[in-house]
Amino acid sequence: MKEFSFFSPGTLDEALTLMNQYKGKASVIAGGTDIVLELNDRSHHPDYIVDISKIKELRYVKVVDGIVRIGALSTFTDLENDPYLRDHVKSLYSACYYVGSPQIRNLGTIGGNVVNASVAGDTPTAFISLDATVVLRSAAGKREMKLTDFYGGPGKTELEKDELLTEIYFEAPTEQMATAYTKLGKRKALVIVVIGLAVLLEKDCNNICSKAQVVIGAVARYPQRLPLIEHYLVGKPVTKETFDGCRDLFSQTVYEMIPTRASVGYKKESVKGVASKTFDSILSDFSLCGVEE
Amino acid sequence: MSDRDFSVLGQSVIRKDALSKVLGEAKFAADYKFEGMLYGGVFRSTVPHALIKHFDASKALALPGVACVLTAKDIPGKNRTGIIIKDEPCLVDDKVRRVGDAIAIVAADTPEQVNEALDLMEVEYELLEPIFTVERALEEDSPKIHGATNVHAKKHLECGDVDAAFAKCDVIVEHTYNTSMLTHMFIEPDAGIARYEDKIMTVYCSTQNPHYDRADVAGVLGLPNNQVRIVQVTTGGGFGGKLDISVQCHIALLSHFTGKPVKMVRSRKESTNVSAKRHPMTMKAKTGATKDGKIQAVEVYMTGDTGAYASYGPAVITRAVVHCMGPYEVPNVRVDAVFTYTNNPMAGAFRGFGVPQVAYCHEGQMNAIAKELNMDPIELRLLNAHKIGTTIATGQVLEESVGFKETLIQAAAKAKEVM
Amino acid sequence: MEKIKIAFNLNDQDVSIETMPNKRLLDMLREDFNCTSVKEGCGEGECGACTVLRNGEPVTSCTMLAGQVQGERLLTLEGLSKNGELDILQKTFMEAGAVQCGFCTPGMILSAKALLMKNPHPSRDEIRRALSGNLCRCTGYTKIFKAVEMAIEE
Ligand SMILES: Cc1cc2nc3c(=O)[nH]c(=O)nc-3n(C[C@H](O)[C@H](O)[C@H](O)COP(=O)(O)OP(=O)(O)OC[C@H]3O[C@@H](n4cnc5c(N)ncnc54)[C@H](O)[C@@H]3O)c2cc1C
Ligand code: FES
Ligand code: FES
Repeated sequence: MKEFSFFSPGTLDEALTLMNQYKGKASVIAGGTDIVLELNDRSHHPDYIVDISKIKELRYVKVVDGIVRIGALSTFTDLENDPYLRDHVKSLYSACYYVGSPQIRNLGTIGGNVVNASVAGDTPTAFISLDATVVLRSAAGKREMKLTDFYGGPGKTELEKDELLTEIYFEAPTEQMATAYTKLGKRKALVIVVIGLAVLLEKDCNNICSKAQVVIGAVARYPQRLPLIEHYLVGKPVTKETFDGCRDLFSQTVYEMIPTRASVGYKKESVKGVASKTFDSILSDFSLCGVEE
Repeated sequence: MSDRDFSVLGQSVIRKDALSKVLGEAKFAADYKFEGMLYGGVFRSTVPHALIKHFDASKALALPGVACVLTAKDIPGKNRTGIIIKDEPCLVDDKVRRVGDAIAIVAADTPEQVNEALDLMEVEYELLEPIFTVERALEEDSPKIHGATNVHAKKHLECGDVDAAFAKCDVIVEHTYNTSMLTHMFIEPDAGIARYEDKIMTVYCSTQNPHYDRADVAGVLGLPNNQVRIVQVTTGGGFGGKLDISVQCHIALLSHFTGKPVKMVRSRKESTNVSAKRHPMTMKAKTGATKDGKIQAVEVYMTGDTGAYASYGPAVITRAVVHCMGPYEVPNVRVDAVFTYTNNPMAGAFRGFGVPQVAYCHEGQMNAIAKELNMDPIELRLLNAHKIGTTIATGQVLEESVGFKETLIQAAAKAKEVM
Repeated sequence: MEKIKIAFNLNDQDVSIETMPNKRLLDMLREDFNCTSVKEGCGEGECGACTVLRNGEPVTSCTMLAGQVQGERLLTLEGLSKNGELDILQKTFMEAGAVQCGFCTPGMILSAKALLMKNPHPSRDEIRRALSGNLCRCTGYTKIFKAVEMAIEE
């Protein structure tokens, strides 16, 4: 590991001041589960490290006025243990539940997962299916943007060098909605996602799908909404038959996203099973909360 | 026998070293420290097959804290190591034979200085055609990795009259089986620490083979065996992968040269890149049986890829040949095996020495015969199973302890329970 | 580059150190505090051999910087037995034959300890999940799960 100076601010303001002062020369460390590996193999060597892990004010999950707000320093374990998320936002809960190992879930933060923007990140897929918004702060002020736009830019993300991601928020799913996330990997634990599929579905009182947000991760560079599938689902009855009817569409979509990739043969087949599992979970949640009128 | 004390035999006893391990006190190689100790590192090739045109360590040597950089020409003894065939240079002299060959070693005051020094070393290669497959290795016009041929071992085993037996068979199945390269992934990456004192070189290391290590360290240093001590410290798994020499010669050289203790701990990546692997093998098999389910003849042609160096290859080929009929009586057998060098990672010992590879072949063939004969696959196996008194293809008579039938019966019963 | 001062609680003792910041928690514990029960198996968060408990929760010390433990409470295997008395898990690991090469053992025992502190009567599935970040290449896990179950019964 090359040499650097280390700061551990206790408040967000102190952190933002440091980010401003050392703009471009400082890297942020939160849980460290991504960045320490890069520091240790010397592929990344900033002059300054700003450790934000002690900023308590950035660690929370709260629901205010129908908006779910998650502080960037919340760990996967925090989210997995949150009763509201477990009961009402199953997609995000599952995405956290299946991350790495207990040790990694105790360290890794949501902010780190979103900013790191790895192809294999689990929570960004779930967050995009929830149409989440990120809050970015710098000494100069605050910006907000949809997560899809955050990943839209030419660089890794839209994050400026003096900015911190402080919060990610989304509208709380209503009683008419169900969400699910399925992670396909080679094992049960410590596994890199091969396909991640996150779905948010809303149905009306006639059991007709009125809204569908379907996102696939680990296929393209960033998690992608699948408008063709969403379009197919909206207006159809929320039944197993409807869901079975789009298995081939999933397959075709994945094929078109990565026609020349070596993994395409496997992914275009396995996505059908992943889709079935995800929709089974959605169906069972709808039947459990007894909203069929 | 009856008056012997069997108070231990057949009992579960607590390992002698369990207490030190649950207390965290057991010392593995990386846990050792000596006063004034230096750290060592290895500069490795990034290409599979090449001549070294030019190597320059002057920038590394100029770094503060760097004690020395050694290359092949600094070796006082013989620059060849290996378990059965001494074909692996301690430091590359004539040419690079795989990605990860050791070109130079460095000792410095801190691990960070070692890394900086390695970053600053420069090498220029003249690339040679790399060989990645056994097929290419066997072609006449292929470049030769060691000496005049790429064949490193050949075996032939024959008994009975194979051709006549096949002629009388009711069913014959022919299939080809490929197995892949595997790594042991012992949990403790290779590590060691060498100390040269009073003309005795002592190497504390993670190893499965201290006596072989001693011969190789003594050979490289040009010291008599009685001036080299290898201390096998608590070793974090090996499974065959710590039989080959790892850090021992390198730290011994650095310690010999600097007069200070030198420690080397491989990263997981380095360990995985250069430790031995399970031999990838291809087995072309022909098996014949009569209608009653008796196997009459087996013919196998197998090839194995031992990579850049022989390691335990000559032992693996023998076991693979002897075991490729599986635990089944076969009166007529013909097996031919060829293992070649390639520029792939070195393959060596790995739990079973080739036997797990051939299991895919003989069990695949048994299933195929059972299918052809429309027979229960377990029954077919029991019908042909080794028993006390069986003569195997090598002429050995199995005189005792042949538990295959009982094991299979119990395993099949258990499998039915869970299926 | 400046040294930093880190004060924390290690195995029930308040400690502090002035050190260069460019080290991992793993390196500081092994080199500066001689806690060599903390092992490096992969250096990438995958194997769990470097597991320590931070405020009672298992974390991989190879994925943390030393400076990040300022003010925290850490437990390594060195601190588990009290006044020469073995922890129940240390006993059952020996008795169940859950220790072979022993390289995974420190991390494995600490992960099991964290589980039992939170959940004194875990099911087999809960044990498996709690230990899923600790790889063992020798035992095949069965005896490790057994050892944890024996500790529950005591
Ligand atoms: C063994 C192992 C298994 C893993 N398994 C999974 C898995 O299953 N699924 C998965 O998605 N990921 C996995 N990861 C990756 C990693 O744990 C996650 O990406 C984690 O969320 C990163 O968060 P962190 O707090 O540890 O980030 P850090 O390493 O601290 O930071 C990551 C990056 O984000 C930046 N950053 C962090 N927080 C902020 C912020 N608030 N504002 C601005 N920039 C910030 C840092 O500067 C750095 O560039 C695994 C990692 C390991 C080592
Ligand atoms: S060494 Fe930290 S997880 Fe393997
Ligand atoms: S006992 Fe060797 S890795 Fe677990």
